[in-house]
Order: sequence, then structure tokens, then C-alpha cells
Amino acid sequence: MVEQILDGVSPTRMELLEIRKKLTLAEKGHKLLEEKRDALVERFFDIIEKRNKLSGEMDEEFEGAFLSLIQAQMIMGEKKVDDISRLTEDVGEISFENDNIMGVKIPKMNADGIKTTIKPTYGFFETCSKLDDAQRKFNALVSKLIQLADLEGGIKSLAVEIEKTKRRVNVLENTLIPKLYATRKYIEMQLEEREREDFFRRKRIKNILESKKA
Amino acid sequence: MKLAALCDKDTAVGLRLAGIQEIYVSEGNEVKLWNQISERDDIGIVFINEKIAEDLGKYLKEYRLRNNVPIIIEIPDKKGRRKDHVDFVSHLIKKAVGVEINK
Repeated sequence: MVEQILDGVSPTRMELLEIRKKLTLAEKGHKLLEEKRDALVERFFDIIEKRNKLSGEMDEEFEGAFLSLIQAQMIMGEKKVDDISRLTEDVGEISFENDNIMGVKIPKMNADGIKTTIKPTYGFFETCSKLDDAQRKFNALVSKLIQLADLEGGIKSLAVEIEKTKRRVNVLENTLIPKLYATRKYIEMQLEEREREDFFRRKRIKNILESKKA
Repeated sequence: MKLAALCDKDTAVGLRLAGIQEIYVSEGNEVKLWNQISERDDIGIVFINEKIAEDLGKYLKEYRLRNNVPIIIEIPDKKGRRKDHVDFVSHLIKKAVGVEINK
């Protein structure tokens, strides 16, 4: 691969000093960003593990809840279950706060307003126990779903940030730093070449002057 | 902020039993319903059936990348999880870390 140099640099001593400064800055930044990326990924893995466990549990619970619901529908009829389902009281509301993981803003949920148990609001006379089961299971699911939502919100923000950091690290590592090195080399070589030319010119003039004298 | 759901008829009954009131039942008009949901700003979490999420596809994905709230959760329907469906979060994880993380 041809080494690319930065555009628009003239091979002067000032420019060389400038490039050296930039190079140290870029290397420092690269190191810092790399550390940030690693820390984020570590944190990310923690959350993923939790999330996978929770979502696995949830799948099973969903299955159970749907089974109860279908049984209730079979016994009481779909219409009736649908009617009763509209009677339940509201589960409550959540609120968001901002959490901060290494400079990444993460929506943190506050589920205090959520009722964990809902009292049945239907009569026991015309309903069956499967409906109670279904309601209890779905209600338990909702609080788990909220936890899951919390985790997934975090995962999303972290993933976006990790990608951004990764891109920055890669740009520094593969483009900017090699370019800076190449530019530094180019300027140094140009300066040396100029010095050699100068040196030779001076020698030459000295020779000419001496031969004139003689 | 409220909880909402965009799901099929059976899931709707279950979630209603659990006390979620804002339920949009999809009957093939999920894009229209989704627009209604995304226009509201008092919704914190949206539960969406995997099948509907798949149908909404790219539409949903872009929205999720742009907005932090509402958080969108994909839930299975009464037939259980779809086998060939890769959910959004796993996709994100794969993209961010580069490898798939097994459950």
C-alpha cells in the first residue's frame, strides 16, 4: 500500500513540529478511546447476560400464561374472556430517569408506580379458576417485561455508543495515525534532502572560489 | 408514562387482563396503528408481537435507532417464539461486539 500523507502540508520545520504534536495527541486519544471501548464492552456483557437470562425465563412464562388463557377461553368462551379483560384496573405508570454509564446516557426506569398485584375485578360466580391463573401469570409477566425493557433500553444505548467508539478507534488506528507517521517521515526526508543540497552547493561554491583564487 | 401494546387479538386479551389499557389490536393495519403510537408522547414502553414487528420491519428499526423512548419490546404470541426471527437487540449485540452471544 502506498503511504498516504495528509493533504496540504508543506515540508517546513514549523509543519513538522505541528505534526509531531498532532501525533502525540492522536496516540493519547487512541489509547483513551480503546480503554473506553473495552470498559463499555465489559459492562455490555454484564447486561447482556442478565437480559438473556430474563428473556429466557420470560419465554417460558409466556407459554404458561397463554396456556391458561387458552384454557379459560375454551371453558368460558372467547367473548366472555374478552369482556372480562376490559374490566381490569390500570396497572399504573412508569417514569424515566437518566442513568450514566461512562458518559453514556441510559434511560433508567422507575417502576414504583406499577402495581405488582391486581385484584380481580370480575365476579367469581361466572368465571373459572383458569382465568384467575391467566390473570396472575400475565400480571407477573408485566413486571418482568418492565425489567426487560429497562435492560434492553440500556443495551441499545450502549450498543450505539460502542459502535461509535469502535469507529473512532479504527479511524485513528488505521487512517489518521499512519497518515501522520507518513507525513512526518515525508517532511523529515524533504528537510534532509534540502540540507544535503545546501551542503553540496556550499562545497561547490567553495571549490569554484578556490579555483578562481589559484 | 404509560404502557402500550401493539399485538394480535389473543395477546391483547392477556395483556388487558394484566392491566395494560393502551392496546392497539392489529388486523392487518399495523402500519397505521404504529403511526398512531409513534405520534403519542405519553407512552414509555410498547410491547409488540414478533410477527407484527417483522411486518413493520425497517420502519420499526429506524425508529428504534433514533429514539430512546418509547422502549420497544418484542414478545412472543400464543404460538411461542418464532424460530427464524432474529430480534432487534440480538442483532444490535452482534453488530456492536462482532460475535453472537449464545443464550
